[in-house]
Amino acid sequence: MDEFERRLRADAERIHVETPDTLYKRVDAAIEAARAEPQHRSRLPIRLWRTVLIGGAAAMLVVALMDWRSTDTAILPPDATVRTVPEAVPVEQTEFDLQAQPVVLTEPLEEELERLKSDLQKAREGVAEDLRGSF
Amino acid sequence: MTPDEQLVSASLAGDEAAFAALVVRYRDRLYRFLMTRAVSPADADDALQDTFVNAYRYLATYNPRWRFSTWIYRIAIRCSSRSRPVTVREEEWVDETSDPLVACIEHSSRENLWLTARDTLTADAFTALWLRYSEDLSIKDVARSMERSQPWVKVTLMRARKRLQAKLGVDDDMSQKGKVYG
Repeated sequence: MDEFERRLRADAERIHVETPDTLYKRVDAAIEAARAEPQHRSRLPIRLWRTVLIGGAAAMLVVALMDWRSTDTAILPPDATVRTVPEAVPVEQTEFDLQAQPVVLTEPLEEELERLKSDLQKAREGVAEDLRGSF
Repeated sequence: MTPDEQLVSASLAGDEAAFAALVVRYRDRLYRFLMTRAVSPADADDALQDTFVNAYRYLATYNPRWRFSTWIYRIAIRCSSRSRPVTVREEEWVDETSDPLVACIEHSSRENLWLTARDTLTADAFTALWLRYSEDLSIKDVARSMERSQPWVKVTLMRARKRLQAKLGVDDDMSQKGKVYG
């Protein structure tokens, strides 16, 4: 613990607060009123119930959509013939000459990249040093 | 002393005395904390009442993996944030008697560092500093109470200390100059 921390703690000890009796009674009465509320103490907060309901509705919507798409088959009349897809015709595999060349960074760009890496490393070291020094 | 978690379980089982024991255990600490954030004692009173009522109402959602103090401080922070907007600066106090924090500080030859902190730092930075150095919460518990990440808490505390130390350095220089030039 350093001097600054000691001073913070010592000064906190010099702050004295006593809860007045009237406030004690007020808090007790408010808790008593909350106790008397009918069914107010739900097991889950309202936020969670809302999330559960929205999630459930979204899940049902997705299931309904998937179900609708999967039943997208045509109902054919009895006399209709069903055409089959012909077998795929084999395609000759040819070699393509891509004529691609590797990208060569020019010197200024390389230098800029090195400078950025160095800045990033220094920033990381600075933050790590600050955090080590504080805690 | 019965652990907080045991009192919570008993309270959830219907033991009213168990919750009353939790209230007695935390009311002075919470009230002191709320006084540092309140514009007036009435605001602190309202926030304290709201804190305990909400703690009672949502006790079933308390997760024993947390420390109870962390959980109830989180409720207190939310309740006090609702009752006032942002940090009130020194120039806004009408006089010392209207400042609830000044009224609680015992007299001393030098200004209490927490008054300087309240006037220098943002509300969040002050809260982090108070929870860490006055309430002795760990970094993890401060982060949970304030609903922030641990790195945020660490960086905020570091910056708060530097700002306060810089401010104290400036004030010390000025008081030294006053001594030299009368």
